[in-house]
Amino acid sequence: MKKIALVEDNADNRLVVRVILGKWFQVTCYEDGPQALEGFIHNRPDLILLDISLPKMDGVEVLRCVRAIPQLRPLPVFALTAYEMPGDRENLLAAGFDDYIAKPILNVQDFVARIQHALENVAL
Amino acid sequence: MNDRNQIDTQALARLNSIGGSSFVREMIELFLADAPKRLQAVRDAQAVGDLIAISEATHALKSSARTLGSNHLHALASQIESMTRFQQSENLPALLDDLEQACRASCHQLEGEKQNYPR
Repeated sequence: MKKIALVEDNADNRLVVRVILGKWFQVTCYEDGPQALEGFIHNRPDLILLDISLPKMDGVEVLRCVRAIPQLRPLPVFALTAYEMPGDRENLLAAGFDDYIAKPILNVQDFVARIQHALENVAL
Repeated sequence: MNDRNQIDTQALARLNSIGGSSFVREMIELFLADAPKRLQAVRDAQAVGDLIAISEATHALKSSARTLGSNHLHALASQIESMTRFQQSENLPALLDDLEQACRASCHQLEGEKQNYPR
């Protein structure tokens, strides 16, 4: 079973993602960036879902750290965020995220399909 | 109660289709536990004039509100987040009063909805 890491400080969002993805993937949750980065080293995920508005380090800072660590650098990292103003999506993709998922997750099938697609591309 | 504060029960039905009754109930209980804290964080930030902190606290409230069908609360939180993120504070006290009222109305309704989603 592929491993998904979720970095999300809101308990309700963690629960939604766990319930949606738990049928297909092993989901590990982290509540902040430093905790997540330590966890990624010891339990390397196959894909990371990263909230942007996080305590201690924001999601863009966490992404920079992931890209700076050689064994984590190739991982697909999705922004999972309620930032939905014009330009937010483009700015996050420009920052290096592989995809952008808006919260709340309204289209479950599309959400799962995008994760599966990213995992298949990494495997190729 | 003002109609615009009505919970969209389709949103709860959608959650039910994803994870079942006990999942919906847990989501409601998380909202009921977290929303007052988020609201207090907004008020604390308002008291010290910290617009960025208001933006962050309303951001957290926004997606939870939409997930549970509190569409008016979501709209208000989104409006306040957008304004304060760009350091705009025109009419902010009245909007924050509306936000508090909408949050309390949502909590009241969701408390009632819990009975439709047994564990």
